[in-house]
Parts: sequence; structure tokens; C-alpha cells
Amino acid sequence: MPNIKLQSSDGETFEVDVEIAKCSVTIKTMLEDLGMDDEEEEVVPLPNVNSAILRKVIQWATYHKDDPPPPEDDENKEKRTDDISSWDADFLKVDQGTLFELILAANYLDIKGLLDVTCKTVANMIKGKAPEEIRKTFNIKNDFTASEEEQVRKENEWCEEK
Amino acid sequence: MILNNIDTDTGLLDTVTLKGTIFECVEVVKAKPTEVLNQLTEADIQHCFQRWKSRMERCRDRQGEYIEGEKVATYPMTILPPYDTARKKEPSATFNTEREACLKYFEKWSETDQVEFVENLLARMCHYQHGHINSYLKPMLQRDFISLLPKKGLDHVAEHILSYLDADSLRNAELVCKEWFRDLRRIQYLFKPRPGENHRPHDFYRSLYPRIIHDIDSIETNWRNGKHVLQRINCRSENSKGVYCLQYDDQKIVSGLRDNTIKIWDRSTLQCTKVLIGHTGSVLCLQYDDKVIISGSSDSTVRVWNVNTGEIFNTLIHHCEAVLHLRFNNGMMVTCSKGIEQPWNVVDFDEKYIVSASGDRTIKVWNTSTCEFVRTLNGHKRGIACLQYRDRLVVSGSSDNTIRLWDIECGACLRVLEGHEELVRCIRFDSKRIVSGAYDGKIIVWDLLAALDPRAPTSSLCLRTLVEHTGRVFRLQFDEFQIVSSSHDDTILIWDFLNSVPNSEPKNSSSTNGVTRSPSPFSTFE
Repeated sequence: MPNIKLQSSDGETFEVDVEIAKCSVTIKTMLEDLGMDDEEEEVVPLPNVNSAILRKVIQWATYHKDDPPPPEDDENKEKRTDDISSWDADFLKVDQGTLFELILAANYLDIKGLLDVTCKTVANMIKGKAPEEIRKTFNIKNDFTASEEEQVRKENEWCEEK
Repeated sequence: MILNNIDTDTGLLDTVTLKGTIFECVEVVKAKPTEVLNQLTEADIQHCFQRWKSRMERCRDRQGEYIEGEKVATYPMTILPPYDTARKKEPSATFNTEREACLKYFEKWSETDQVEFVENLLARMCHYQHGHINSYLKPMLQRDFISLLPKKGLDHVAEHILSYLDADSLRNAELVCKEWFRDLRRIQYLFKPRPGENHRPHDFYRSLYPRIIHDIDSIETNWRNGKHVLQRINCRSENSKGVYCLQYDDQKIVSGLRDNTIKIWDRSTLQCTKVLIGHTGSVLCLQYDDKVIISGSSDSTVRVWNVNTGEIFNTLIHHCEAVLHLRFNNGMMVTCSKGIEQPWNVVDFDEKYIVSASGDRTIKVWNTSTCEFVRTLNGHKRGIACLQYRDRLVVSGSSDNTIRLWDIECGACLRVLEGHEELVRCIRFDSKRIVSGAYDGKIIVWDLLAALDPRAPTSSLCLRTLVEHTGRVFRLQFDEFQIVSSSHDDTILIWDFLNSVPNSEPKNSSSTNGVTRSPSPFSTFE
């Protein structure tokens, strides 16, 4: 298997199987556009991803290298968040800072599967929680005045359960 | 290696990751750990023991001051003395100089070295210091995803996260803070039409949504309370009165009459738009699709009509007696008639089974592809007049005044519904309800889900009795919004549960109607 070298923002170089690297659409396009050959000892610079996160991303991509391509988003399909595999759930047992960086990296590198599963993980942190619990989860200050909060509540009465 | 170590839990079960899993019910919760424990290998246990041992050693090395970083956060029972900054004395000059020197060194080191150094420092500190650092560190590791992503120009990623939320969670999310509120209101995407259709403005969907929620809600209440608006079509048949069969859609109602005709009615005007003449006996059954109407009659023929023009395509003569029922689907049609010994009153089928019931009290099941007999459903005490079959469920109505629910795969009778006072002549069910019509003129709405639940008390099954017909109910069809029924009284009634008059007492709905008619023996309807 031909390898490729990826360089993180802090200068660390990772040697990765080309097929694994290509699960990133960004890297795939880069290789195609630049006509980088397998033979050449090129290093792909990834100035937006630091080594700690790049290591995680490569770990994820390696585990998922044989996955079928993720299905196209179907607007009519119900959006589920309870279908995260146990490996992914374990992999994403990280602090929010790391999760945030992973989302940024998945978006920048254009890895749909990783972006989906990280976004789902954040959605699960919001789902089914009261506003105060959500604030606690993400360390957010409530900047509504009592009357403003009441106003929003009122506007939302339509989806209140009867 | 304390605070940086995220996976500090050394529990056995964690090896197989049960933690954080959501289970369906308590039984599964009980069963799963047992299953997992049985799967553990010797190596797992040894690995676990090693981790405990190393933790114990770390603990021993620090004379019991050692606490796993995460544990401080996880166990609310651990009482942390507050680190009181007010009590802190003015730092001495010596400390200030030394600190500056340390920081200078620190800044020169690589990130890895810095981490190792801080770990080293932490290992030398004690419980309450760890607690303080933990509460200092925790917010540093939190991220306000929904506010931060748009600031980085990644609105679409924030939208992606929010698109996974349900209406309730979205409502709560709007209340978190102003930033979230603005983000949620800005996002155009949470209420969206089908792909390919033009997007209407976001406000349209946001105002439509509460109306839909309200309608769904009131339909449910209307069904339960029997609240409806009634429309009546009087067929004004000349000679023999009565409407034996019908089928409807949004535009029309197609009805088969006792006076040998098929009449098509316009839904909006309730006027008769076509009369199909050809049968020389009563029209007992019919079904239509977007191309044809197929009807069966007591003249023993099956006729095929053009649904749009009303012209006759074909007349099929295969039976020697009245065609009592017919169903067609996917290029296949099953018809039934009075046999040599007993009348086959009704038939239904899918690609797996053909189900038919007869005057001899039994329901027979055949294999659709081979036509081989599969089994008999036994239980009714008199002849069977009607049935519907879908998936595993068969619901039948009988001259013994009861309705029975059957599991077609095993032949078991799941439930007997009692409430009608005469022969149950027609029955339909969907995923929520059963609606039945009887010779006593009554229509009963039943709770299907309760009927399928063996623990549900009998009294909870009948939701509503609708009394409006003054003659035998011959046929009905229903959907989420309405029931359309036809009767010997020569009328077709449309019971509209969507557009009910608000706050009006449900009239015409009671179970104590004084109308009495003599019980009618089960017959072939002529």
C-alpha cells in the first residue's frame, strides 16, 4: 500500500496509507488537482489541524477505512442520533474542546462520516434537556431578562405539550 | 497522568463499553451486564487487576493523597473544601521572583514537556488543590458549540447539529441564551419542504407547524369524543333502496347500490356526477384504482369500468351465484361467491396469504402463490360477514355480534370485541383504530392498540359509538380524518373529525339509542 505524509500545523509528520487519507475529500481533491503521484515523496501540509487532533482523525479514518460510503443526506429521512456505533461513542468520549476541534477538522478535511457522528454527539448533549441543563452542559450564561425569557416561552407555546 | 487521562474508569464492565448505552427496558439492563460478564476473558480480568494495582501503587506512593482526577468530578459525595482566595495573603517578593523564573522556563518548553511538567506538579499536590484545579479546568474544557461555530463562519455545521433535534429540544434550545435564540431563529432549515420544491419563506413553515400540531392534537381528541361534522348524501334510489358498497378519495365517492347502479359523487358538491348502468342485480362489492372500477353483483357477473369515463371495459362471467366480494391488487384479483355449501362472504389478500370467511363460521387461509390451504381460524359462533387482513393481523366481524382479532401466522384469536347488538356487517382497521358497522345501524370506533394489548381491560377498548344511520350499516371506509359509511337507509354519511365544530357537545353520539330492529339472519344480502 502506498503511503502519504501529512503534516500538522505544529509541524509533526504522519505517514498514512493513501486510501485512508483519501476519506478526506479535501486531501483527495488536493492529490488529484496537484497530480501528486504515489511515487513522489510529497508532504501534504494541513495548516488547520494540530497534531493531537490529526492523530485522532487518522485513528478514526483507519478504523473506518472499509466502511461503505455514507449515504447522501435525505431530507425526508428521519434524523437519528441513537445510531452511533459503540466504537465511535468510545472514541468520542473526549472533552468538549477536543470534540470542537474534531468538528472543525472534519469540516475542513471534509470527512462526512466523522462530521456526522461528532455533530450527533453534540446534538445528544442538547436533546431532552431543559434550558438550564443545556447551559450547565456548555457553560453558558443566561443573558435573557425574566421578561425576555417569558416572551420566548410564550412564542413557543405552540409546541408545548397539552 | 492524572487529569489528562480521560479514561480513568477501571470498572470491569467498561471493557466492553456498556457505559453510556441506552437500553429499552429494565429487563435488558439486567440481562446485559450478565451477558457481558460472561463474555469476559481471563485476560480482561488480569488487565483490570493490573490497572487497579497500579492505581493502588500510585495511591500508596503518595501516602493516600492520591485521587483519580475524574473521580473528583464524577462523585458528588466527595466534599471539597472551598479554596478561599480571600484568605490568601499578599504574595511575598521572593515568591513573585521565583514564579516569574518558573514561568519563563515553562514557556520555553515544548507542549509535550509542559504537559509532563504540570502532571508532575499535580502529582505533588493534595486533594483540595486537585478539587480547585478541577473546577478551574472544567469550564476551560467546555465549548458553546452553537455560538462558536457560526463565529468561525461555520453556520452550516451549527445547523447540522440542530437538524438532529426534535421540536421539544429546539424549543428548549431557544431559551438557552440570546445567541442561541438568534441562531435558531435565523436558521432557515429546520422547517423545510420536500427537495425539488420551491422554498417558501421560513416564517411560513414556522407558522404552519403550530397549526399542524394543533390539528393533529384536535383530531385525536375529536375521535375520542366523537366530535365531528356530518355530511349526508341521500341517494334517492327509485325502487330498491340501500347502498351496499363504497370507496372514496379526496375528489369522489364511488358507491354500489341495491338498485343495480354504480353512482359516483363529487366530494365538494355532494352531487351525483355519474351513474354507471349495466348490472342487472344489486351491486354488492366494488373496488377502483386510477384506471378502473371493478364491481361484483348479485347478477353473478364482475364488470370492469373506465373510472374516468364510466364506460364498460369488460364483463367477466365466472360465478354462477352472486359475487359477494372482490379485491384486486398488483394485477391479481380474487372474487368470492356463494359456494355449494356456504356463501364465501368476504375475501382479502396480499402477496403471502388469501384470507376468506364464510357463513360456516370459519376463516380459511390459503397460500397466495400456490393457492394451497394453510389453516382455519376457528372461534366465531355464527357466520362471518366481513374481515380485513394486513401484515399479521386479521380482524373479522360476525353474525354472532362480535369482532375477533387473529394472528394469521399462528391462527390464535387475540381478542374478542363485544358491543354490537346485531350482525357486524363491515369492518376496517388502520394502525390505530378499528371501525365497525352493524345491522343495528351503529358504527363503533375501537382502540386497536389497546385491543392488541392483552392487559388492557375490556372497558377501555370501545372508544365511541356513532349512531346516525337509520338502517343496517353495509359498508364503511375511514382514514385519519374521516369515516365514510353507507347503509340500507339509502344514505352515505361522511363523518369529518378534522373540521369539527369547536366547543360543541358531541351530538348523535351515544351508546343508548332507542332504535330497535329485529335481528336479521345472516344472508347473502338479497
